[in-house]
Amino acid sequence: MRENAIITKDLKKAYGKQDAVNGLNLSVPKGSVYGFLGKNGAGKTTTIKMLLGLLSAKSGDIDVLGFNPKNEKEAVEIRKRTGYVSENQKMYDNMKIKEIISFTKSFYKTWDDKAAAELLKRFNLDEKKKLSELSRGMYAQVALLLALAFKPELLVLDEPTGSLDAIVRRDFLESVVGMIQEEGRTVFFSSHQINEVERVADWVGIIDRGKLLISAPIDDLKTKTKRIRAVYKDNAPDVSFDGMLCKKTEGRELLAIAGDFNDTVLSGIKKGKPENVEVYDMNLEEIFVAYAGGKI
Amino acid sequence: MRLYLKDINELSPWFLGVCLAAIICDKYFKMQIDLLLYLFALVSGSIIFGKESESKTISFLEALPVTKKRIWFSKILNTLSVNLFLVGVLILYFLAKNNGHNYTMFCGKGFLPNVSMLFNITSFSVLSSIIMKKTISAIFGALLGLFLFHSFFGLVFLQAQSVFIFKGKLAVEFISVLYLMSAVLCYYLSFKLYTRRG
Repeated sequence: MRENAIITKDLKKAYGKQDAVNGLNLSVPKGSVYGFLGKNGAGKTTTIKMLLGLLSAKSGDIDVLGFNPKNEKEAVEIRKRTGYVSENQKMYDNMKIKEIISFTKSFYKTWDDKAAAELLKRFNLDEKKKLSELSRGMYAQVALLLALAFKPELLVLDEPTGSLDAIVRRDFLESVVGMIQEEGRTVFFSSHQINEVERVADWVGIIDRGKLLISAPIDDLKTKTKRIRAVYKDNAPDVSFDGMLCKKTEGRELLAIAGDFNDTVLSGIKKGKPENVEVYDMNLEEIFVAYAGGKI
Repeated sequence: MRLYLKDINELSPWFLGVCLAAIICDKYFKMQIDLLLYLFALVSGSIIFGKESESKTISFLEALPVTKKRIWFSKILNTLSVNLFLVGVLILYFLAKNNGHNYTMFCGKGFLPNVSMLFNITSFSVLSSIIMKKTISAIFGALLGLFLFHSFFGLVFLQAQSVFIFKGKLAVEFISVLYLMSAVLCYYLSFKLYTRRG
């Protein structure tokens, strides 16, 4: 049985001279909820479009559910098995909900009418309403319904809550999480809303300038990444250790972030004989800033 | 099939509108019906890709499990069936008005050049809608393309006439064939441009 739903090796894509994805090596375990984090323009959407075969890669290998999206026929096989909701997804606003359901249904052999009806009920959507009459939150729910009703193996969400307010965003995510827990699907979830990723994801990957900086289970990442504060008698020495993400010295104080905190790192810091050393846990937002921004 | 029906559904109000306008124009203003049909061919071709790109629904469509080739074929099938429908309207109109009706459009008299020009116009506007990605820009793009094409072709034709190669009916048939050939070329280019992946 395959262990990974998505694998990319040295994936590259450029728009003109601008590299959008630059040697991306990604592995998304099957059954995981994978949060794909990155700043605006980091290459998240381009990566997702390449995974679905909507964009062609310049070079590198891609495997999604055992298919290669570089091949157009295999890309269609991927899309048959993958639910996709993009940021600000536009559908046919002149259609009623039941019409867009009927239209989308005709493309999927695995479409489940019962599941679609359940989702309509769960989201409290009136199928007689036109898409143009829906609020943004309801519109996103219709998009999610269309992405889930054919029972996909993989759900790809590209900034799905980007345009939603905080309350609707929470509702939307809770719906996604609820359904994921019921079905045990793989979810690949791109966002720059870190707190929502922290709430939903169990794996996280951070991308910056088209390169994957880290990919790990969220708990492991939190265990390994620590902020260290050391206060010395005199000016803080110039310390460096393996896996140091960033550091800042201000007079007697040294602040550093360790990407792989362990006893060796601590003893390295202690070599400078600080008066006091404190090690702090970090939340995902702080970890993201340390990796993607190189800031404490 | 669903793609085809969806687009037909979108085009049908335009078609009904043009038919109505044609009847009114013919009855009250003595305007040529073929002119209105050309206008519809221009608009229908421009809508077919332009409107979807403009409203960004094309991304939704392309994310469905269907190849770009199939999307292109279904849309072109749409324009072709619309064209055939227009040809039907032309035939009916000519049969009803079989009393020495004068064609006002470029390239003189006859059914064949009118039909070939219909296909020519639609193919230009389809190509234009893929390049421009907006309906109104596509219409103007197609108009400009048609103007350039016809100007160039007019010059070639006049030159040919001056050396007595083409005369009378043969010239009209030659023009019609060239119209159809350029339509095929435009459809081919639109296929290449649309199905390439960025």
